[in-house]
Amino acid sequence: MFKNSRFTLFCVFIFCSFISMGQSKDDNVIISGQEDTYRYLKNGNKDFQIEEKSVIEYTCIGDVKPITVYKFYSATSEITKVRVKGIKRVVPRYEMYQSKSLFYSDTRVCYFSLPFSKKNESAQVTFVKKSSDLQSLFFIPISDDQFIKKKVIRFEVPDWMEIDLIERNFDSSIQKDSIRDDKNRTNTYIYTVENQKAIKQEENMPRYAYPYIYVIPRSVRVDGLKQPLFDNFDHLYAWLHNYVLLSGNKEDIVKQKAQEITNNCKTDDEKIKALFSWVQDNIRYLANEYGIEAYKPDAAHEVIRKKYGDCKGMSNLLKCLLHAQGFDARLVWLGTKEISIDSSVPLPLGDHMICALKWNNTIYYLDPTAKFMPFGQYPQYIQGKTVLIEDDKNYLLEKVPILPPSSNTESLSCEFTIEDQSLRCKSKIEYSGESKQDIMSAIQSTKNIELMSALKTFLERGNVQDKVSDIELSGANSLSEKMELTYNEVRKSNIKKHANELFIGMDSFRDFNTMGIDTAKRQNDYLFTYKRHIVRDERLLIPKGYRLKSYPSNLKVEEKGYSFVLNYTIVDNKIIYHKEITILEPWLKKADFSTWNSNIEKLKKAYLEQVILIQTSDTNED
Amino acid sequence: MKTKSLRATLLAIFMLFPLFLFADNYRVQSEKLRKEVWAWDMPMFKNYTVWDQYKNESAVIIAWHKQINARIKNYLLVDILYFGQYSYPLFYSDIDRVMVKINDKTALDRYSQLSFKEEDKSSPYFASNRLRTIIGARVIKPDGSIKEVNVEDAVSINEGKNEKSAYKKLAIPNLQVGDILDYFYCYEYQYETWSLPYQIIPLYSRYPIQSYSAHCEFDKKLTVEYRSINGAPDFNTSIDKAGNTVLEFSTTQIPKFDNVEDMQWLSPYRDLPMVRLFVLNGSSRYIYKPASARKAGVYKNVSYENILNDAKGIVANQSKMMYGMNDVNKKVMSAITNFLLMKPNGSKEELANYIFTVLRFYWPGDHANYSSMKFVVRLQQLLKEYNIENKLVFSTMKDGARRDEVFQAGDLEVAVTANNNRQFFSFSEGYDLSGGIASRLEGEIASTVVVDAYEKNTKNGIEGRIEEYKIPETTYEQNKEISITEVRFNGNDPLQLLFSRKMTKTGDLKNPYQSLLVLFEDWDKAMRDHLMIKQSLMEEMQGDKNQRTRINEYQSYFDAKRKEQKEMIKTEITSVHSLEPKEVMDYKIHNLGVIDSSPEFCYEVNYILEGLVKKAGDNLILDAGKLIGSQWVPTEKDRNRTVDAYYPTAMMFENEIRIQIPDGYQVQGLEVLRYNVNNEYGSFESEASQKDHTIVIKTKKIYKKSFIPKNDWPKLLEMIDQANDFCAQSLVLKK
Repeated sequence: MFKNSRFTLFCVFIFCSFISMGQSKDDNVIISGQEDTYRYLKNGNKDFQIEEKSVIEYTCIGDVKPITVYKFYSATSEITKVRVKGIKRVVPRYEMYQSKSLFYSDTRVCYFSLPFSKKNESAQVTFVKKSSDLQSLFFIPISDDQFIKKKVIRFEVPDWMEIDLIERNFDSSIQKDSIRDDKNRTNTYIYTVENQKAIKQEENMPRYAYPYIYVIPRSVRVDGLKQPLFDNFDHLYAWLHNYVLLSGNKEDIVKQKAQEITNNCKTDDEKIKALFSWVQDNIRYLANEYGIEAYKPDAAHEVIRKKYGDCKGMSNLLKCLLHAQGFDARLVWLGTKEISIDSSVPLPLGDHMICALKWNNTIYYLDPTAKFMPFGQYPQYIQGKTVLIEDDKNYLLEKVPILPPSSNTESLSCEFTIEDQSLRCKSKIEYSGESKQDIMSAIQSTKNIELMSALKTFLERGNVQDKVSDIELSGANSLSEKMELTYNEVRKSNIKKHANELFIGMDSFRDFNTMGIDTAKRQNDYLFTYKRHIVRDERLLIPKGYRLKSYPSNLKVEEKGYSFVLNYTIVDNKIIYHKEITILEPWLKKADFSTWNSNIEKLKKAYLEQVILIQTSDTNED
Repeated sequence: MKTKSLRATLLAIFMLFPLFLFADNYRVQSEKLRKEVWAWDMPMFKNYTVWDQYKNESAVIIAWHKQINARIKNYLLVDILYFGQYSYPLFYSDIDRVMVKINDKTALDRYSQLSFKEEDKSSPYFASNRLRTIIGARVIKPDGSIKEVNVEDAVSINEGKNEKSAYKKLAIPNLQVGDILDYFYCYEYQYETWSLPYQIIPLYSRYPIQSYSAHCEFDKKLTVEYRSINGAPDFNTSIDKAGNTVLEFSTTQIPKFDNVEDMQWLSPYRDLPMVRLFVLNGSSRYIYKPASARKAGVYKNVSYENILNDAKGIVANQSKMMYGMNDVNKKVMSAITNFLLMKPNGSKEELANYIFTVLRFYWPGDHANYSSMKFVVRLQQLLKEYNIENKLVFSTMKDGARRDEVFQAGDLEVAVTANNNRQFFSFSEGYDLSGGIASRLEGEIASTVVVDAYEKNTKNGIEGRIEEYKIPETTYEQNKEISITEVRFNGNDPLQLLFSRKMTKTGDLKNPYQSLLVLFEDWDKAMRDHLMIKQSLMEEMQGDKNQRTRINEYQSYFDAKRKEQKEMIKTEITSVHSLEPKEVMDYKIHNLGVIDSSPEFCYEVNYILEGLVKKAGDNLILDAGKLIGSQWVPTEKDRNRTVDAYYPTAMMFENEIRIQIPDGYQVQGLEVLRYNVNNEYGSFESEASQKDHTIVIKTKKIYKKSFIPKNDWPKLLEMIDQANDFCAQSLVLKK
């Protein structure tokens, strides 16, 4: 009977696979059926538990390949049952989750490989996970690494528990329903999901591009009394601030350090910048998300001693240093990426802490983890985000200002002369904002002794005929507004003599030349890490004995989220090439890929156009 | 009942007994060791000065001391049958103390965390093998103040349902650029049934070393072998009062060698200074040792003949371990019988070749049970069975130790010659079974052994005459890539080029292409045709009850690989031009190049590329030099190479490119594409001409030798630079 019903089910899946929406040819193993149930349980008045049961049926429909099945858990939760039916000798492994960006985290993962051996083979996996922390269930992804034929998610919520379910990225393939069970005094919320495409990890993709549910535990009733969890911003703030109070900063040590750092500062402006850059430059970022450490900032004096800390420890130290010098500094909670503290609902989803400074009637935001970002400039991942600012027992809800792309300008200026069939000039590139941060990260990851050689390679751009020399670097620190690179270059790769004509390519950087998107492969939107603003100002002095014969057409592309402008103007005996590439909106939607690609094609073609100079007399430029 | 109880008690006591030997509390022992190490009275750790010549380095190792202590202790061990006997476990401690000056952020990142596994153990048959790691660290500030790091602050990374510590991580507090980190790792082993792996004391590092010393004390019951190579210092030897051996050396000013991991054409055992060290606990009956193993004592530079005997002993053992070979034997023997029926007048060479090919074809991919050494032994046995003259070959490898510097049996690879050395067979990993000599063995002076008998557990291992044999070296003519390309400007868009490229590869240059482009399914079919095996793979699987159930899996895998092939073609084009093709129209692999009668790999592909043509008014500028494909451009580090280069083989790359000039255009200045450089290590020649509306460019780039001594490296660069200069040349197509 079991075999028959499974066979029938299998036939349905196979048949349906031809008509499924969203299923791709790359789906070798699919989730043919999944049932997830989340139940709130209590034993007495204090012992609360969330039980999560997942029963997942995997079916191999394409290439026979093993897949990895995993379930995350933490220090306050436990995987109490793992069962695999249909495939033998599967041994689950349990490990602490490790990633490059985390030094220590209490996230754990239970995982195993499902080694399918033939097409149409199925395996049923059951997980039971129990958590003792009512506040732990926040984020439920709908999609999976495999295509989902059908999935049902149930939340069984007793009357003593109040939760909100907030849905994101939902479409018509997800239906919601609810059932009231008066006998057990329980509400069950049911989500039915059909034909959900598999998650595809791609570079520069939005972090939360697929459908998911936030579960917000609002309150719990104990002895008939309502105990708030995250009922409103007051509770959220109280919960977060409570951890701050545990830090136990030693003010005398901090005060001494603040004094030492600001000893030579004369103005408040200098003091603020000195303190901010000291933390940026002297404290190593080291993420610690283990137990209480995931929420509690490390004590300021400890961060001074250790010279390392995470965002909480670094921000807390900066706040204390500023306080010690008499400034009004506060801690700030916020969410980066797309998950953020929403001003409409108090989501406890902050994943970052920074510092705010109230000074001269303005709130400034200081992120000490953003190395080389000067005072008053903000990285993209905090711009526009709603933030919760500490205000003793109260709090402030504010938004981090949004800065224009020009705050991240990377600009080149140079004036070429032509000698010995080469373009020669002294060039200067300036980097500000996030472009400064980008190049500084690359510089910092290069050995000092190899830096000049690496910069030479970078500036010569792989052209063996071009030579760059006398490279000088200035402003390579956190305090400076801009970092500057100056250098001499002799460029042969962009000039070609033929008979009495010279052909010259003005742009050696060809920015965004390879930024076309393969629409056949790309599944997700494209997210630029920040709003780019690239400016190239190149002037070419027409040599004696030559005149301008022709020059490329100008290019102007202006779209809602970006623009490309390439302009050639002639002033006296100079050809002035001005280019500006601006990414106004970092999120490029899939629907706009086609237009983007056609604009990149225009840009590529424009880069291939040459200036032509023609000899006017017997004088040879050589 | 009483006996049972006594046995149980004894068992419990004996089970605990080994623990006592390693039983010091980890915390207490760690603390004690740290105090001892920090108290070492060694001047090298008391002077914090960085020498002037190193002050700009990312980091400088001011002092490095290595201390090894190896002892044997004997005690009564109970085994599984409750019988007591003496065991002789090895107690081995290896301490590396390093004092490093941090000069920049990259060095700070490298040294800001230490990780270690506190304890690990394995207890086979009531014996005990244990490993303990103790670390210590101190930060020395520029003012000379010293702050010891609390190792107890390390966090444990756990695994398993029961949260067992997998390893620990320690973030070094208060470490900044300008500080000195003084740290040590101590590995303590207690091995009863395990042998210590062969060890290397590297005398090279990514940072320069100002002072280095080593001090080793070895129990007189141990067999210790060592060899200093490539300029590493030699040990001073002495005997202490207990009769144990003390080996020591010290040296200064070791230059940095910072790109071991990514340096090309490096042969570490021939290029890098190091001391190779082997410690054998010959007292233990649980540890395998060949019959030729040396007795207790210290041996410097064990002779080639001794190592050859070790290798022969291991090979002889393999000859007695042909378990699970029935299936392979059956298929191979059946194929050979068929071959003899089909080719009754075939030569001995043809038969030898057939035996090698069919054995390799059927040889399972499970390398743990079907090793390459076992393959060679089986091949030798088969050749002998079919009365084909053969010899086993024991050879060093280019990427391994030199013949006069071999240190362990693993430094020698075993192969076979047949028919009086006219044929050479070694285990090959890739698809290519066309019978070439593996490049790693080319040119090596090997030993051949006429196998009279495999004598397991005897000193010689294999009885038979030994001779010297120089393995032939291929020339660049035998490792050749010929590329013939037709290039046309796209009529609709002259900035696009249409390529039709035919590629032929021979010798050692085939392998990367075959790995990328050849499908197993195609290879299998070609091999079966060549070997005259009538059954297809699927038919063969159908006839095997163990394999039958996996037919779908195989077919599914083949289908997936065939779908991926076009992507692989794109990868090939991208790697040739460093540009992604705009479109791949079609492709065909004409010949897989995997069998001896047809050893050339031939492939053809048609595609469109953008980015090689620029527009100047009505004229076009063609990056003609780049049409031969992107070339290796040496970095400054590559130019300043300080070690010899070991290329797999000599090799040659020939290009013939025919460019159709579009109607209405004229080309002048072809002379920019004429190059000629020729020296003893390489040459690059090019010519360009025009016939009617076609430009013909011919280039020939030759790496004449596979070995380039470091002093002659600039000569090869001379050729490389000319080729790169050629690549940068362009042509104007004038309207």
